[in-house]
Amino acid sequence: MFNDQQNRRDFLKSLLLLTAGLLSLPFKNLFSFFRKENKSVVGKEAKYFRQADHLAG
Amino acid sequence: MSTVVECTLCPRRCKLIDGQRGDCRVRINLEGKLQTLVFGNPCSVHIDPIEKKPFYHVLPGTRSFSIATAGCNLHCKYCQNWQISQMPPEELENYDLVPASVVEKALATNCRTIAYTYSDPVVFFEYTLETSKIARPRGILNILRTGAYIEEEPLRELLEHVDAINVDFKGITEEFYQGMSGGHLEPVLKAMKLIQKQGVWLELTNLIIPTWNDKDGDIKLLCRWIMDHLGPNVPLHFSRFWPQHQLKNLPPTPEETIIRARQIALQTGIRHTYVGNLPEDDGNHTYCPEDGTLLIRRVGYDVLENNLSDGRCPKCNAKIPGLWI
Repeated sequence: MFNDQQNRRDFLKSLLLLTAGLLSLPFKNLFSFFRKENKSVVGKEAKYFRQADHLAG
Repeated sequence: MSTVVECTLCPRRCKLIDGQRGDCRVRINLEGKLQTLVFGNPCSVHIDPIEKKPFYHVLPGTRSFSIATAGCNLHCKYCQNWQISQMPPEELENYDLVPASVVEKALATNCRTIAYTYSDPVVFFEYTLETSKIARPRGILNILRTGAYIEEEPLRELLEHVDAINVDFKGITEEFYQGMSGGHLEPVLKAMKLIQKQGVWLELTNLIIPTWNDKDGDIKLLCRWIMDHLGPNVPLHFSRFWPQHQLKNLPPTPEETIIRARQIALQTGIRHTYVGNLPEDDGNHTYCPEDGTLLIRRVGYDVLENNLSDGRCPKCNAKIPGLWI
């Protein structure tokens, strides 16, 4: 059955959710507060290697 | 002429010409020197229950600051973390977290352990080592989840600074290791024996995969090896396979198979055997091997009840092996 009051309530609920979503957009970076862009991968001298004379095979 | 470098960290022993990377994707020969590309750059940082690793005999009910970098020296067809383990670091978004910062964050978040996990700490060896050296004097335990595919010398160095290791004991046959993970069995067996010999707490996890390692004979063989070489007090976790990565064609392991595997292990004499990925099964609980008293009740990763008293059974006073305090 068509119900005006119910429809209005559903519409207001949707509007509230949409507004909350839009308002929270500027704060999305809170969820990655110490994540940084992967600019470049920098090497550090590794342990456990030796210089070899040749390649096998 | 460019210099060839041989990486001696893991049994693969990759020989690399200038600019070439190892099989793990994270170690590279740059002008005759081997460099790691993942030091201080984890791609995963989470706070997990220690039960998730899984460790059931180390500080139950506590949280673990868990890190991983890109790369792995094994290539398991069922890998649950293939999105990071089978990637070079530059294809992932990484954190900038030097060892001292890892320790500070672990302390700030009240974590009593740092877990080197998800991919394999063997390939971020230097990062694990340096972080462990800083963490231990600050009262934090270092715990590793690894395939233990590592050479003896680096493993010995690592063992001086870590407290507990859960080895992913993938299978008991060379055929399984070659076919499923692209590695070899023998170095893993050797590593497990060394870990125990050096007094580092050891737990084992065996993922049971339908048609690959789910026969009673396979499970008996694996349990027999554990009993003969590591003894009855090493906790063994049988984990349920879920279709992933390159094995999406297989069904999940039937629950009965995991429960049967646990029974086989108990019959073989392994005293602390658990089920994994069956959150509500009684096989998640810790029982006293002497009188059967329920010591720790778990549902999934949650500890609901811990009746241990100074690491002992409250009824018969039997000492339960593990790191409890």
